[in-house]
Amino acid sequence: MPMKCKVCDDSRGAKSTAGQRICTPVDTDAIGAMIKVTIDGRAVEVPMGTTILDAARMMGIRIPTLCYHDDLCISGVCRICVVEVEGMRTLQASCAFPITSPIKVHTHTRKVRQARRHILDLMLSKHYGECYSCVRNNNCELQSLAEEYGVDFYRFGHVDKPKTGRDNSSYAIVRDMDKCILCRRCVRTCVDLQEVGVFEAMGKGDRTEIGTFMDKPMIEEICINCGQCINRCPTGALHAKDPSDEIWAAIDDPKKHVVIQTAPAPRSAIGECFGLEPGHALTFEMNTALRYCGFDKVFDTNFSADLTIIEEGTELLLRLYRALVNKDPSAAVPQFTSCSPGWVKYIEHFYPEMLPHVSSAKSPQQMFGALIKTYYAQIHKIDPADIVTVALMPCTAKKFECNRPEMRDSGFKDVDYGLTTRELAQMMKETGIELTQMEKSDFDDPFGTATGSGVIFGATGGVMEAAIRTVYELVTGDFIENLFEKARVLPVRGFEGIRRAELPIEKVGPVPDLLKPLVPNWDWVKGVTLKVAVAHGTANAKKVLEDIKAGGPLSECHFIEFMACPGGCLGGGGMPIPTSEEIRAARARAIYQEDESSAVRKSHLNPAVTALYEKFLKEGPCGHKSHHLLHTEYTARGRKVV
Amino acid sequence: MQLVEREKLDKRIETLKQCYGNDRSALLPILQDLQAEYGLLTGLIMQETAHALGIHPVEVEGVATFYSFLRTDQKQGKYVIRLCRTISCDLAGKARVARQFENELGIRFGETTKDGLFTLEYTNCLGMCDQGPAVMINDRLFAKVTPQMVPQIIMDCRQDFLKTVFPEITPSDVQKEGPILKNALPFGEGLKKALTLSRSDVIATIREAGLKGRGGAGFPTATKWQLAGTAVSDTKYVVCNADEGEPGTFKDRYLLHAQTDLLLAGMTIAGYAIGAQKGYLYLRGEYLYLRKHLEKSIEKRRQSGLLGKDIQGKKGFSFDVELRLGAGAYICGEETALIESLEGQRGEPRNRPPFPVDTGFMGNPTIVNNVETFIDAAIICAKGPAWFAEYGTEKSKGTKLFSISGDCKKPGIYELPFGITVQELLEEVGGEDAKAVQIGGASGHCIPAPEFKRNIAFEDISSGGSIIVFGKNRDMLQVAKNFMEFFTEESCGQCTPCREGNIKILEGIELLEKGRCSTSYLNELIRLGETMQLASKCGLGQSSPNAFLSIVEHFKNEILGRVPEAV
Amino acid sequence: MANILIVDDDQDFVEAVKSVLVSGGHRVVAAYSRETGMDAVKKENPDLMILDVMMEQPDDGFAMAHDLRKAEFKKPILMLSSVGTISGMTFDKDSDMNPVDAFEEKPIKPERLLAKVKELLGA
Repeated sequence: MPMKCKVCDDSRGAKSTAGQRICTPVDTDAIGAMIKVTIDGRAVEVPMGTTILDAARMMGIRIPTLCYHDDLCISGVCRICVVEVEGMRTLQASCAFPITSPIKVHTHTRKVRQARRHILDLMLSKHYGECYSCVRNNNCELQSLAEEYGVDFYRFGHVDKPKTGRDNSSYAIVRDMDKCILCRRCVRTCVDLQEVGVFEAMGKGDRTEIGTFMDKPMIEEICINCGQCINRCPTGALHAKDPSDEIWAAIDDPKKHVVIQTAPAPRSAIGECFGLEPGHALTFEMNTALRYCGFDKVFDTNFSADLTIIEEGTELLLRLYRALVNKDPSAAVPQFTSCSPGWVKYIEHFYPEMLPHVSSAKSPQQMFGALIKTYYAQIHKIDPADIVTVALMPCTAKKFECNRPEMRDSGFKDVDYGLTTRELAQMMKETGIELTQMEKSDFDDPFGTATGSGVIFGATGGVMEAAIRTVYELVTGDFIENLFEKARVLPVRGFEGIRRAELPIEKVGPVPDLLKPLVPNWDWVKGVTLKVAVAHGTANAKKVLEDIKAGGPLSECHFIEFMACPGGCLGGGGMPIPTSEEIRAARARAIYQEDESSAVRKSHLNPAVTALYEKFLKEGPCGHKSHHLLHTEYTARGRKVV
Repeated sequence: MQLVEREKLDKRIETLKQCYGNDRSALLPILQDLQAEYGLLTGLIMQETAHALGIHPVEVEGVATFYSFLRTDQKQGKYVIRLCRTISCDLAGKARVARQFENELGIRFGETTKDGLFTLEYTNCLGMCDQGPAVMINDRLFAKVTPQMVPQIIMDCRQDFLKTVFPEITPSDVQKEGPILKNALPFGEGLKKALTLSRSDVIATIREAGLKGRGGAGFPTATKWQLAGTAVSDTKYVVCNADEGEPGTFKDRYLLHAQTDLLLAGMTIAGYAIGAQKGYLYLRGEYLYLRKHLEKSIEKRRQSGLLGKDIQGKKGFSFDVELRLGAGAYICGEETALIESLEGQRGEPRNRPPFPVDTGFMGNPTIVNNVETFIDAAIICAKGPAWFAEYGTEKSKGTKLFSISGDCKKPGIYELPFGITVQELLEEVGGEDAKAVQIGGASGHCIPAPEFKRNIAFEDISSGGSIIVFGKNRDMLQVAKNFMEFFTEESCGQCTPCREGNIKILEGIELLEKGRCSTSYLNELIRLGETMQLASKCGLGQSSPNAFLSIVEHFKNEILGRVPEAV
Repeated sequence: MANILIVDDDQDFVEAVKSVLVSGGHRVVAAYSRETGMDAVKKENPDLMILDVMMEQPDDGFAMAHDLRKAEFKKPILMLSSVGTISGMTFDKDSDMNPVDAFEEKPIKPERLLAKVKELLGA
């Protein structure tokens, strides 16, 4: 049975330091599949290859960890998780020790306690621990461990002045290396999990540090701003660039009309910042709380998600028409989604030659921004210069996206500030809001409450599912429910890194009014099997793109959804910390629940969207005006820093 | 202009790839060649190399900054003067030589002269411990350097006399030969006998001889060979660990030069036994001057049918050896770190389990053995296991090469049987009045006079052969300081106990120097040392506080309550 | 019904194998190290041996197989080990390097174990 690291599989060859191979047998009733391990005097049977750490967790025994992270390759460098294994001279890192024979483990002997305390003290001696002024105060793994181990003085000294200072250059990510404890989670996140490669350990010995290429500031690095490193940093060494001061200033300014749009993922997770278990959506409580904070209007980004489906879906159909009917090789099929700004920057850097595949549709955030400062401003007769648009996002890359120079089609900066879930929770705490106790209220008109299709944008596969629901119904005139029970397009759901689905179009219906200017009929789609794929995490995106370049099976796809973050937006770099597959699954459940409880669940049936096309974007999807406001183009950035 | 530069560079990298391979394992040799050509690994060089090998530029920089012979910050001078600052050269008066180099060149260590001619830097152990202080200039070695010689050396450099005035390879002082060094096996003989045996019989012979790894850890050689040999795989590797970085050891330097053929025979035998087609000789960067000699020896064996296809007419047995150079990182002597380094990674030890024999080079079965182990194996195959097992003790069979340096009359290389007491050894080398002996290098133990009756063997004091003698007047705190400075710099930096612990102990020693360390803090440092021994990730991290701990234990009275002389 | 000797340092595993083989009608004797295993071979003269690889030394099983063959032990040897699972390497019988009659990876299904034993005894 070959063993593989669950994160960095064969695609990178032998990335060995990080690539500890862990195996677990499939057949648990075979002799020898289960091994008896005794931890602190209690015996339990575990599958062979289970780590001591996992075995202990199964038994409810807590072993502290720092460099270990559920999502990452095992590294075994911080050594805080050491335990004593009978018969072994040295202590063993429980995260990196697969159980392959019956062993007896002790997790809190004198040696273990002394070692952990020393390791903690050594980390604290290098860590600029100004807890009061740290964004991770009260949610810091180092701080918690110091409390847990009763650190009451700095045995080996303490840093009282910052040495390197902060790198504030990036729109999204702030680095504060004075707080780094060299656990290397950011390195493993950036190199293995995301395949971007901003960080690496530099130097050796006492000069070891985490560095960027040529020690350049973040803004000059090839960084996609996904913020996954922030989600996994145990301390405040990496955090997001917080715009809340500017937002407060805008709220306080009576001349400013401050509106906020809220993306689907934050509502599924903000409760975690207020002590709730993951998986409780607080959508409507949040609306009330936002008004309480002082936002003038609260809009649902799902509206523009629905709009994205119409625009992007139309673009897809037009591409397919060019490819299938006109046999136009420049149609660039498969079409790639464009909602994830981390993904967009990834392809701009690493695969610029494939940019023609990316849908020209802006992301929902930017579509909404452009509409607020045009359509909404017109209706409400507000000078767009006085409107401040804030976007509540699960995402740090959105902070970069709203600052792209091309995102000013309204004549103003379409979206002024990208605010993360964590930062909003902080703003609410500052106002004394107890979010879980808020009464519920709805979103504001004219965008209203959106559809379930918009909500599922928050999970990987959601954009694809929404697109399938709409495209299928528009083309066939049939109900998606006849194909998938309760409109659950299960093949594109889940957390598998790359997922594929096929949708045979056996019959076609009449062309709906909205699309009549664009296509004569659907006959050319009849008999076509629509092939789609979904990838999340840029390492998986890379695999897909390489497969397409090599003419592999994915090159036959028509439409592919890419999300930069593992799990999609619900695993975004702006979401509450910590993150793990379990937490992301809970958030996904909340999102799919909200979808099912929505009155309308298909983007093309959103009345506010229909109204928009009737009143404002009169030429219909992909028409002149929508092209101007809702579509964009991309920059081939390449991957050269020097 | 820059475009032309880039194109030229990309072409050069392509050529180098053809030499060293297309994957990441080619990274280190490519960087070494580019460093030699450009004098500095610029951002552009690192970026273009990364893209040529399909990795991220930051990963290349991570590698380049790990190895002290690669430079990313400042262009090196035409002549890089590297003065050894490790313990034996320190004992031999390195400080005054250093001062004189600074005086003559007008720069400090770590700097380059304005004319770009000289770079002055410290290095760790050059393997010249018996002939210190040692200086390496580019690939040329200078032994027993005195302050008075400094201006002449610099003058010779200026006039480009380096190549003519000094010998290519400084010879070692062999003080005592034993059965291994006196083997008198004619060229090619070592291999011939082994190839008449079946593969399993080769391993059985090694097992019967009781050969244990000569690097110091003493793992049974046959066990490694058996596991790798039985594994079913088309690709297997034999790796020779010639990264002799332990302060105070230089016997491999001698063996690499004087017993090259037996070494290569041993590697070939291992290749035969485990079914490998390829061997890597990982030579430490500090032994660059041996490269030519080794390459010549490899070529000679190819010409003689002792390497290459169907060796010695044995159908289907092909084996070849490639030389790979380290780049100044002590930790690469740890076998998993060495494999990482061969793979083009930072030389950071891996987690165990899995053990190195399991998870080798590029994920294939691989054995890593010390230079001396391969030579012993070759001789054992030629002369039989009984001949070998005659020497030594029950648990430590055979003889061992010792590198003796420090305060004794006859420093140099000694071949002595295992089981010899420290006292006997001291009498042999003329160091009877020593107050302590460091056995096993920086990571070994400091043995005080009352313990001189202990045996040097795997079952008592285990060592890779480094013996440093401390005379009556040695300041043991300075000895400990030298060791801790070494580890502070040479820790790979990945695990907390070793990286940070060594810094704290060094700081503690500085407090002791000033006479400002309380016993309670000293006790805390002793406990910290225990934590480092127990919780560090690799064997070298675990042994890094050994020297400090044993010196504190045995010489507490000497190191406490010092009153520093007024400066 | 055969006389089977199992040499393995994992007592839990030995017990599990024992109960399967006894239920298959065999008599089973166990030893827990290479050394005691060699003694047991002399004493028990088994019809079949089941041999682990990694015991005190990680290659004890391989070395013991060689010793047995050198000592003219002609009965079948079934090597049953997790060495491959743990190391990630592949192992098999090999007339020179691993002179056993069959190599099976742990964990092993009871049915497969019984079938393998039957096959080796029949041969």
